[in-house]
Amino acid sequence: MMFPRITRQPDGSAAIKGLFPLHVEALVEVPELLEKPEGEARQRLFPDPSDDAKQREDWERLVRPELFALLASAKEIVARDLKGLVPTTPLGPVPRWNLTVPAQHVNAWISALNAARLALGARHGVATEQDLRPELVEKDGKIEMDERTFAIVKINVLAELQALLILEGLPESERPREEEEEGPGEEGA
Amino acid sequence: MTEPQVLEETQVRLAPPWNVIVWNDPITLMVYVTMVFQRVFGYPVEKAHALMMEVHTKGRSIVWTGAREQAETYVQKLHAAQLLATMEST
Repeated sequence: MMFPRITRQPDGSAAIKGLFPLHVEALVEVPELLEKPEGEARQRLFPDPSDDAKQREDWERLVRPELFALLASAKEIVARDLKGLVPTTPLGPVPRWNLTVPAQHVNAWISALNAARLALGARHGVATEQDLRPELVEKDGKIEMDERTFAIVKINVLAELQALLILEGLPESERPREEEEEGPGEEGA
Repeated sequence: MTEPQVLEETQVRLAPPWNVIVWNDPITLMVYVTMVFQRVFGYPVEKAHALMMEVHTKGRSIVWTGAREQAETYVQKLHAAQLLATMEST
């Protein structure tokens, strides 16, 4: 199976090629996940800066509105770019999709993918790295997934795209070093 | 010749520095955290990576120490990148 590839183009845009239906399904959910996150998702995306009550109050009043606006802007960018998803000529039984992320949108995408993964994780109580490796049950040749397991699969699928965007979509001078002993997409930091 | 008079003695105590702390979470990618540390603090990749590893292995890391106002700015930038960051007085 060929995985999606991301290539930085001469104009700085990131060409994403070979997205599977699962990638597309996870991606189209990103704007919805970032649309006014509530409950655990809101708490995770907008944490408190300290235990100090006064500082938390000031933060809510002075800083959070700007953080909300930043996330809303990233969400809008992703929603707009997703309209450019293009199906490729099928070479096999599984359809594939391509997408181009403009250069000035790459950072918003990296941030939005991160936020969407966190929102999904918060909604489904992902608390440990072990939670991200669910046991998949196969029945009659098909993998059966409950809602939580499917959400975790989507967290991992979006992680793959986020890591690719960081390591292949950014200018070389901005890419963090890829360590040999750890996979670039490894979670938990 | 008269001796100079000491009119008042004042003690100036500097405000204590503040620590910016980043906490581990199981979802955020390691490579993303390294990238954020490089961008927010301007750290070289080696330092950013070392701090990220400390967050990953120890559960938290003090990533910067200094004046309160600057610490608030850094926490705001880290929150904008969705990292779990807090600040505390030393």
